[in-house]
Amino acid sequence: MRLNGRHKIIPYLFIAPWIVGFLGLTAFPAGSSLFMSTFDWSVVGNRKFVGLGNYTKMFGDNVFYLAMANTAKYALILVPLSIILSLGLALLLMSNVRGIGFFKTAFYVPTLLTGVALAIVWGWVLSDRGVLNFFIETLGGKQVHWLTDPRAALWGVVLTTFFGQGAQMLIFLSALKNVPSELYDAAKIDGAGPARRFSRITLPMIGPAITFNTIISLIAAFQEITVVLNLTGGGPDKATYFYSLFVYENAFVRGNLGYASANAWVMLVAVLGLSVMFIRLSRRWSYYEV
Amino acid sequence: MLKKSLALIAVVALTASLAACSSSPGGSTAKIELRFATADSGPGAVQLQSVVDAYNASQQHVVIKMEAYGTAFDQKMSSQIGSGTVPDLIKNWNFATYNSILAPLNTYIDGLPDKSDFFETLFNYATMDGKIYGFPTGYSTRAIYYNTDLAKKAGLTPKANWTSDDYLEWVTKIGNLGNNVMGGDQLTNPDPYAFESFLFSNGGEWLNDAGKPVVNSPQNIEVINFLHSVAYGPNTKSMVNKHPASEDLSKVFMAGDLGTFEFGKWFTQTFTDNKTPYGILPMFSFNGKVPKSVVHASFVTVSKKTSHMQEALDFITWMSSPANVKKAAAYDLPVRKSVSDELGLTKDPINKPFLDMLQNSVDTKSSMLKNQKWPDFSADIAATLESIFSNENVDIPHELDALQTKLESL
Repeated sequence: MRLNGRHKIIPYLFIAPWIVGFLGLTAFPAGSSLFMSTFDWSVVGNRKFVGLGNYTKMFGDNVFYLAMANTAKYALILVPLSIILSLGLALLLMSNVRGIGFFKTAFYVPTLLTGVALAIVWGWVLSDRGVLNFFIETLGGKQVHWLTDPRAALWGVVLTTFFGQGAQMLIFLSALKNVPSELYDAAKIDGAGPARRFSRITLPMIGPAITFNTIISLIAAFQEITVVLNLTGGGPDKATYFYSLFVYENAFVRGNLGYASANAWVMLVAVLGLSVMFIRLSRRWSYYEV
Repeated sequence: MLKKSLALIAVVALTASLAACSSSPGGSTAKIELRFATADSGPGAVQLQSVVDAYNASQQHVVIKMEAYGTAFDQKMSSQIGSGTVPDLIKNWNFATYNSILAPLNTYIDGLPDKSDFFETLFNYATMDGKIYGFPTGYSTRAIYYNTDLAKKAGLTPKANWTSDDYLEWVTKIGNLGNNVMGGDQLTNPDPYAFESFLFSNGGEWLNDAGKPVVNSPQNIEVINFLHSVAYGPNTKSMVNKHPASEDLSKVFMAGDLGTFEFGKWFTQTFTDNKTPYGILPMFSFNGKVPKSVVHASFVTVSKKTSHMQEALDFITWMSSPANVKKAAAYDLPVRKSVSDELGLTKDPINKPFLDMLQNSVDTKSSMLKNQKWPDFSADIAATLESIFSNENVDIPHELDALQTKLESL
């Protein structure tokens, strides 16, 4: 259908709410933060233009490297674990058993919990006298100081955030359902066992979903703040001091909004770079119908 | 025709609604509205809202709108400062960060006929460079909670004046009772502001009166060494509950598993309601010095850009009247001496130690009020304290020397 005259504007009106929202709530704040990053901009007081000063300051700040390293470590542990868990659950949900709807709901429910609620509940679970240590000690193990031992705290945060994989599970489930059954039938006839069918058919066919979920998990790992803020406060001894906390602290504890904006832009570039790299790499093992 | 009729109806409706907004029934003028921001949430916000509601009910021409920001207080204040929409009244204590947007209240306070009825120390905690930026509404000092049953079992008798050696004895004897009972408590991430109480009690401090860092002073090293040795020393290591601030230690205490811990007044009501057997002791002293405490006070402050200064001051006057100070005393300690006396707090064994600590601390000033860069200093001090109290093996003088160098470079 061809639109003429003043009717040409109609399609733009349909997308206008999104455009307005994007410009007002994403593009403008992002542009402002880029602008702020070139200033010594405190919560109160005068602002002074410093050009790239905040960026050069950051690369001389040891805490920046510590926060980056902690976040990278957390992402390296959490992302593969969350992919394995969500894919495993999706595979379980593919099986034709009674009451599958109940399991779908049960696996999805943890996703609905907010970070603050998760942190409070897991704070009880992980405390020295918490449920987890009770089980560990009952089984003959030694108490783990999940929240106070710098060597254990990162694992405490991983445990807390690990179970909220419902959305990823659904994406995998949808991808698995789209794999044509003829491929499995043909492979069976050719004598391929379950492991071979999984590695040679399932994984390549759901490759785009793996890529998507990996990138989403990566972004979530870099943005993780609610749980650490409420569970460990970045401690003990900065063992869970993630990059988002570094940005938050510079902005709202130290009151240096310019420096925090520069921190945020570096995080954006880092996550963008990693995502592009992963998308390119994923083409080697994923099957795209294009 | 239909379109024209609809347009006419819309115009009439809009005009009517605007007219409704601009006047109230009876033709009286609109009330003056003041915004009142607070970081309170939960019961604290409910209590403050009831104060505001009572004030609004007593007023003909003024209405206070309370905005409870909770933990997002600093974020919301930052954005409002940036956009020039700072609330008229702000419940606040962080003068190092916000003093430049607040109106000094010296003239108002000096003009109060009953100024001497307010604890003078509280005004010190709102003073930077001689300017008083806030009016106190409630406060607490810090003291030591102890479980009376455990103390009795361990054969310990509370003393009004006790020392760090006495505290060590308490931790050890209560810890030796067994059954996983812990003698003392140590935060792995102490708050630098609150922690300064221990330093004051040994003549130490984070910043000197000139606002320069003195974090590696011998007095500070001695205090931190002592507390670290209580938490990790071979004799008491297993007797001290080590935990981050996110963990609710009141539950451990109410369960009867903890002998002593240092805190403000805020748990007293909970423990009393819960019938927890507890008592309060003052802070312990070091080397025979007078034990002291920082003061946690909340203040009402006024934005220097408010166009309703007189109405804001009227609200403060109303809020600080003896009757309203008395009402607010359920949670915090009352800011008026007469109300403290009237409520018998100066004799009550639970509240007296907190009042004594205020008396002892009349000449102290928190480091927060000594330098505008306190937010930066505080973050770095907090990181060092956490590094010390999260690790068993740590060279404390070395850590404090490194901190001193870092703070001097800021």
